[in-house]
Amino acid sequence: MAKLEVLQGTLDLLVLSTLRKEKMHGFAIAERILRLSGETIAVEEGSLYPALYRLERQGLIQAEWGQSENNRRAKYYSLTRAGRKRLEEECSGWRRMSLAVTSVVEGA
Amino acid sequence: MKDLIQTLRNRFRRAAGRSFEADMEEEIRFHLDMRASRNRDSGMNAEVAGKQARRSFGHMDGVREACRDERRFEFIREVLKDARYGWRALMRMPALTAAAALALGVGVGLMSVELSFVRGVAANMPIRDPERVREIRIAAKEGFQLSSMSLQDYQTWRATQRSFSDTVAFSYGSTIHVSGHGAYALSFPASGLTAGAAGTFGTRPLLGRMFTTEDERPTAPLAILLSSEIWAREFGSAADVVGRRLRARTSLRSRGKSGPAYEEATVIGVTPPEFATEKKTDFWVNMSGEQRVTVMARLRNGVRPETADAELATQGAGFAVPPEVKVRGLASGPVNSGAGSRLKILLSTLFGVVAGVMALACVNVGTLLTMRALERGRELALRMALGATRGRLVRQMLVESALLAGLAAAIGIPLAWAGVSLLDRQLALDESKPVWIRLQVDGLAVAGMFATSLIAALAAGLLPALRAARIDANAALKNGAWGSSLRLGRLARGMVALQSAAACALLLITGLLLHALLGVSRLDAPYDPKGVLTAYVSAQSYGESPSAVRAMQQALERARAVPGVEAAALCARTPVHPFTTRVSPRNADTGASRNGRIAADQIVSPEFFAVMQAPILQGRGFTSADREGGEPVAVVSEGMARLFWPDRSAVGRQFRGSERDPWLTVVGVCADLPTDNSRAESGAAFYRPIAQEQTMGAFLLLRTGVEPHSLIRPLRNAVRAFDPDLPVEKVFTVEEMYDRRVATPRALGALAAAFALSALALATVGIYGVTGFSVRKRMLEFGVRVALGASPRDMAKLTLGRGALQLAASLSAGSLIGFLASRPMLKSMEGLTGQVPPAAYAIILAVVAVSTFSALWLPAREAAKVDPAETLRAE
Repeated sequence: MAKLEVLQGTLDLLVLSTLRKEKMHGFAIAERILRLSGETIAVEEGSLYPALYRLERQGLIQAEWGQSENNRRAKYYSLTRAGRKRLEEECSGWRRMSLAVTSVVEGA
Repeated sequence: MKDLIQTLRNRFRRAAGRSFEADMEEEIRFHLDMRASRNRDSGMNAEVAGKQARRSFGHMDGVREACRDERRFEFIREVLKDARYGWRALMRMPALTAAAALALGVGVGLMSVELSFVRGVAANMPIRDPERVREIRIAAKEGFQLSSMSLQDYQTWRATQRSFSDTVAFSYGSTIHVSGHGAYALSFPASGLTAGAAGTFGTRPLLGRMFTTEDERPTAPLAILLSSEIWAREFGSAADVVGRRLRARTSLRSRGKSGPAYEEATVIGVTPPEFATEKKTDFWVNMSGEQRVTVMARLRNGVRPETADAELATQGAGFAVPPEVKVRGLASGPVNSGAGSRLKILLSTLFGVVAGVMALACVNVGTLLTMRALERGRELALRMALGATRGRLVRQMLVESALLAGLAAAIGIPLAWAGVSLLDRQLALDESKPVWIRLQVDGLAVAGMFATSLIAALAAGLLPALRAARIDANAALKNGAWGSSLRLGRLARGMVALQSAAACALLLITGLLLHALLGVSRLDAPYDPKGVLTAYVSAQSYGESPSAVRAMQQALERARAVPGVEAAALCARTPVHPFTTRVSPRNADTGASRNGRIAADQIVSPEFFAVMQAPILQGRGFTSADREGGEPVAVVSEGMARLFWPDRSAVGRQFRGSERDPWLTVVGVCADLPTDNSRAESGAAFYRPIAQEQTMGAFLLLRTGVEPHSLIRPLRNAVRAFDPDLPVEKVFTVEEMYDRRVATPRALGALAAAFALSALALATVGIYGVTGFSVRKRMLEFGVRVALGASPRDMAKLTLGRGALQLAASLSAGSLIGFLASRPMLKSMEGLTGQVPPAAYAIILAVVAVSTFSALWLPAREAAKVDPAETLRAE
């Protein structure tokens, strides 16, 4: 199966949902997205960072420097309250959307 | 706000020694190192692992730049991106975009022209603190006011009044003859003026001084104030012009019936450029003798107009007024009733029409954008589903609207500029307008219009955007093309009906206005108006006596002798705009006069009919036997003969003006001559011999085969040879004279034509847009119908049938509205313009019907050509 290009809005959603449970650094977020999507989604790893900076500017996530698992300085991201709220909205929106797309595609 | 906090935070970090750049680099390095180490873990060697890590990261500099962008220029960048996206979106529907931009641009342009025009024409007499200056009038017991009083009464009043700090009186619209300045005696527009001008108007002379009460003494020598314009043109802006001596004569100094005589005059000063009265004035003189003057006065500090009026009401007893008027007192009013009322009537009509056109433009753009937004419903829903926020979408729509408004401005502003300069050139020819009126592109008007178009575009873009933002993605995606076609159908039909009705009403009004205005702007002369030179010879100085007529006849003899002149004649009134008089024919049986009709009233020398190529059709022209003391005779035009004596010959019949006038006997009938005075009914005109009349001046009419302007110098020389003090004025060809007369109606006519055409174009675009859109919306349905065997003809009927019915209904509604609205307008213009023939109405209706129908027809043809296979596949 060919890899899907990721649209900007979707990438934001993916990042937010990755951070749902715990704070993570950028590399870990990239790894998680790739692993969870079963490597279906093609994301150039670098393109993650503008998304992170954007979400940070929008106040949906916050960043702090900390120690990584291999004892290096790394920047950790976590959801803010606004980010959590947005995630819930986007998820329900996405569910309805994908349902709609599925019903159209399969009903056609 | 958020950006500000972010900036402050960045500042703080930088101050702490950790820049954004360093943080970013460290984060990226961390990522690459982690990836490389994972790669090594899966068995790559160190070099390959590093390279592979960089490859999977993607374009390094691109990422860095994107990160920087996200932080720094967030807002601007987003807007620019929106603009780029918006531009692409606009360009995806180029026809629609062009239509919307054009509609808005033309609307903005025309509205700006109109506003600049209104502001220019409504410009006031340039006075400091004009609200403190009052015009003093005589209030009559009968309820009306006289705007002029005698110079002597003014001087008496001035000596006793207490409410005003400065007062001035002037008498404008006269002429002055100046001899000894240059080769020929010259004539200039002149006005009389008293002391007090500087204080009342709040100006000071450019050079020298203004008049003082000393100049008002009956024995004071003639003193001259030059306008700054004539100072530059005739005196080369010479600094030593003050004190210069001239010989001049003007009726502003006349006493009694003997004509004004030349006297020594001294230039005392030059007025500033803004010093102007309503009529163009080159020479201001210290008038004396019997003069009627307009009085203006500046309120003393602290005195209110009501207080002044209370004092004025007690004054004015014994003022010289016409015998039928009884003086109640004096009264005051604001200065500056502005431009002439005839301009105002036209302007208010035009203004209404233009506002209508602008409204039509806005409605159209609104419709087009709404249609477009509906069409893009799916696109917007998709973008929302992909994470675009509502705010984003709304901003996107706003940016697109602003782009559209920008396009409109690019069309509208040059249009406004061109329109205004065209109008200004036309109006500059009109000498009857107040001199301070100059048209220029009004920055405020253009800015205001641009703002209007922006608001219109925003409103038109915002409503659909807000609606789209509430779109339920699920429903929108499912609905697709089938979606709102039913609801839209009604909306679209409503729009078409509204538009064609509005266009019809607007076009009818402007069409009638146009007909009325352009009716006066053609001169269909049997002679070549370019080849007839006119020149005014004023014989004022000869007084009101037969010697004035003899002097003019002498001038005629001299002019006829000028080489190149083929024929020459005299006429007492301008050949293109004669006076009109109400005349009544004499009933042959009872001797009483019947109902009067209005006819042009001209006084001519016998050669007139030959020069103007109006052959005598019956009876005879004038001869030298028609002289003073003989039987009063007249030649009437064919039109007048038809009007008064339709079934028998006019020759030998009699008619007269008022009861006091003698009966005139018709001795001949001549062919009709065109004039711009349409008060006269159907070419009705009558001509009296100049030898039987007393007139103070006359136009020389010279028909020539050579270039007419080359005759001016020989003509001046010929007249000088017989009276060196007699100036030759107003030297124009008939065509030039006519151009000046009709300059204003012509300019307004052009404006009205532009409005009418753009109203029509806008409506057509709107109708086409709406119909086209609803046809596209129903393509699938049409495809199915065609697939099921509908013929192209059925398809055309389907789309056109109801449209045609609606068209008929809205045309009737529109023409009714237009007809009713044009009634008061045409009534107010009576006497100014010609009658509107019924055919004009029919033509206008036909034009609207045809253009509306073709706007409906084109999409219908498209529907008829539907290829079912292709349409269904596309869906």
